[in-house]
Amino acid sequence: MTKAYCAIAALVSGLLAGPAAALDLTMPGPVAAQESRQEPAATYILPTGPITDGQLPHRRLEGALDQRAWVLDARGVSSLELLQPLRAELVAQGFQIIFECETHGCGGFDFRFTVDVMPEPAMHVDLGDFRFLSAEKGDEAVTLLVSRSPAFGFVQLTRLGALPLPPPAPLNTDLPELPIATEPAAPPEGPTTPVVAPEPPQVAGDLAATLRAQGSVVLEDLVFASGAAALEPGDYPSLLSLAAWLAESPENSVLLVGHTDSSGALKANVDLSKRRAEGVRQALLALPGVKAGQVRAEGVGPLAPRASNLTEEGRQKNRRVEAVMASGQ
Amino acid sequence: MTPSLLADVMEATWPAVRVWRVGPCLLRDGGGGGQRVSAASVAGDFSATDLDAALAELPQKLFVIYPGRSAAEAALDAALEDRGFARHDPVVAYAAPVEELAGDLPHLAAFAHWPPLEVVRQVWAEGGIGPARVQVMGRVGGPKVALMARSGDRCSGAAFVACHGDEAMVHALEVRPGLRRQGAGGHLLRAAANWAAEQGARRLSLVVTERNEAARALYLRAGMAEVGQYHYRKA
Repeated sequence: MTKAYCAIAALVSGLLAGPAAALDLTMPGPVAAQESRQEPAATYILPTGPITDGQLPHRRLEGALDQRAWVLDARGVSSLELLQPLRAELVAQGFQIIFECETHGCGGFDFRFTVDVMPEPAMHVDLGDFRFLSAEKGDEAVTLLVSRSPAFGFVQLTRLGALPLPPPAPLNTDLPELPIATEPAAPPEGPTTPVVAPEPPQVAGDLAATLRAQGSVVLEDLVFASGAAALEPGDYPSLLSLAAWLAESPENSVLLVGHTDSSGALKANVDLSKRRAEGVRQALLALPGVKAGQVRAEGVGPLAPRASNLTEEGRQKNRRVEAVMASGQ
Repeated sequence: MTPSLLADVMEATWPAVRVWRVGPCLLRDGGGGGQRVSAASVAGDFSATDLDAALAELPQKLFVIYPGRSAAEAALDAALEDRGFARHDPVVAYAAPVEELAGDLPHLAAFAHWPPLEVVRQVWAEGGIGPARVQVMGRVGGPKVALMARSGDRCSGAAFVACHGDEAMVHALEVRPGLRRQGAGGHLLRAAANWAAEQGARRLSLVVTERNEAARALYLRAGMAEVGQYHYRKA
C-alpha cells in the first residue's frame, strides 16, 4: 500500500472561532465559476509593500479567514478594468487601501509565489499581468488579487476578520496536524506522453543507481530563482538520469518531495515546497519516456531539515527537492 | 500477548522476502535485512531425522525460538542445543494498549509520512538500519508509516510502525546519539500510538534486544510492559 504526504492545507487553523461573514462585492462580469474556503482561525500574511531584496513587507494577522475566487467571463477585459470597480466598492464600504501594486511593481514572479493564492483552476495568475491590493477597515483586512487569461478574468478576495485569539484548544488530531493521506489520487495521464515510445536511453546514470540503492536521493543540481517555484530552465543531469530510469519501466515511480528552510510562514513554505516539487515534476514529464502516472509531487516545507537553519549554508542545504522511490515501497 | 501472536505480528510487520518450508522448518530469505527476517523457525512436530535434513539445507545456521509457542518449539530449542547451536541475542517484547500511549505532542514534534524521507533514512543508516532494512519496511503489505521526530528544528529520530489486524508494532526506533535524553524517543512512541489509533489498532508493541537497557528503560517509563520474549539459536 502506498501512502502520500498530505496537502497541509489547514496547518495554521484548528482553533475555535466562528467563521467571518462573507464580504459582499459585485463582480465586474458574469461569474463562470466560484470557489471558497474558510478557516475559523488562521494566520495571514498581509502584504504591505512590494517585494524588495527577496523580502515581502507584511503584517502578520490572526483571525477568521474567508477566501474566495471567481472566474469571470471577461474576454478582452484588462486586469485594471477588473480591479477598479472592486477597489471602488471596497472604498465605498469604508476600507482604506494600504498597498496596491501591479505585476512587476509588486515583485513579479516572487510576489506571485509568496502571497497566498488559491490553487488552479479556481484562481489563475498570469505572471505578466496581475494586480494586487491590501485594504483595511477597523479590525478587518482584505486583499484582492486579480489577473486574467485570454478568455477569463480571475479575482481572489481574501478577508481576515481580526478576532481575539481564542484560548488554545486541544487539537482533535493526534499527530500535530500532519496526518498522511490514505491513498493518493492517481495523477491524470498527461499530454506529455509521447505517441511513439522513444528509444530508451542507454544508461540511467549514477543518480538513478543511488535512488535504487538508497531509496531516496536529493536532486542537488536543481536551480530555482529565490522564492520562486519554477525551475530555471536547463539540462539537469539529475533529471536526465531520473527520466532514463523512469523510462526503463512503467513500474518505476518516484515521489518528488520539496523542502524549504525555516524562514517565513510554515504554510507558505509548505505550499512553496510543493510547487517547487511540482515544477520539477513538470520538467521530468517533458523528458522522453516519462509518464504522468510515474511521478507525484509533494511538499513538506521546513519540517524535515537536513542541516541547521541557523546558518545561510544550512538553510541553502535545506532548500531542496528530493526524489523518493515510490515503486516497491 | 501469546508467543504465537507475537511471532505472527513480527512476521507481518517485519517480513522476509520469502518463507518456504523444508520438512518441519520454515526457512526465510531476509534479503540482507538482518537476523529477524532471516532466521528459520519450526512449523510443527518433527523427528531428529527431519531436523537434520532441514539443517543441511539451511543457508544460514540461525533459528528463532519463541519459548512457550508450542511443544515443538521447546523440543527444537533442546535439539539445537544438543547440536551445538548456542543461545544467542535474547529479545524482549513490550506492549501497551494504544489508548494508554496515545496523547498530545508538542507542536510538530513528530511527522508521519510514507515513503521515508532521506533525512529519516539517514537517521536509520546512522543507527545501523541500512537500505536492506528499509526494504523490509517496503515489503509490509498492511498499513505502515515512517515517523520523524523533530527536536528544536532538527531531525532527531525516526521510527517505523506497521499494523497487523488490531496489533501495531514499532520497528527501527532510533534517536540520534547527540540528541538523546531530550524526549524524542517518547515522542516517537506517542506518535506511533496516535497513528496506530487512527488505524484502529488496539495494542502497540515492539521488540528490543535484552542488552539494550537504555531503550528498555524508555519503554517502561512510557508505560509499556514486558509481554514476551524470543531468542536465537546460532551454530
